[in-house]
Amino acid sequence: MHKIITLLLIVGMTGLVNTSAVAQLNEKFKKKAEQEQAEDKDKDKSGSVLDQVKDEAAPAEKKAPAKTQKEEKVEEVVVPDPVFTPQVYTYNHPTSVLAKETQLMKKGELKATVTDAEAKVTAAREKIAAAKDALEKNLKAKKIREAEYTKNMFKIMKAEKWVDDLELSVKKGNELIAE
Amino acid sequence: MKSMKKALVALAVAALLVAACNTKAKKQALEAAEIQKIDSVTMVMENVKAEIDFTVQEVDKLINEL
Repeated sequence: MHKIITLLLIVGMTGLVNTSAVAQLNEKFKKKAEQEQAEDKDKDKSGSVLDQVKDEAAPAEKKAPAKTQKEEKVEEVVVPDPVFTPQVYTYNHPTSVLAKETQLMKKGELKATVTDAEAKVTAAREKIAAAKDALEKNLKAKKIREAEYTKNMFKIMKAEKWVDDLELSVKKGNELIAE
Repeated sequence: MKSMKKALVALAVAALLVAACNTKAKKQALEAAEIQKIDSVTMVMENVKAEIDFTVQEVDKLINEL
């Protein structure tokens, strides 16, 4: 009889311990989720800081050609650089197996995009170098004016900046694929 | 004595039920946390892909202008 009572007590205590353990686990997961959200927000903020720097750089680029264009008296409409805004996706996966399947699919898509983008970066760098060379040669040969040279050089610099951005995104993508 | 036995059996059944329910709840909580973790990484992947596509379009546009 005593043995049965002891066994029942043990089972009952296990049940209670499990209840508290589940409650603790839930709290832990909630904290983790909050931390992850906070980290994501920080990342977004750093991204927006980068965008701000991009925006600040863009008007500077457009101010310089404006000086040269005064001579020609041609006004150019200032178009701000487009900015990428990350989106929030909801998946509603019932099981972790389905979530993993979706992740694998997205990983494959990202891999293909990264491979294409790497080729694009190489090609763009080559084109930029060629354009720079041609511009320098034309200036030396006095085929173009100083104003035109400056204008084209700003275009090249702007393209270079975007290629640098693309390289950074590709790096980010490669890191995600490697994980 | 019989009623005592019945009470003990009922107690044992109740304890077993509580233990079983807790195990299930624990498993569900772990599953939900894992799904959330996987989905957050998937979302980052999708956003990086979209960012790359967006930047590629801009690069193409600017390179064609050169």
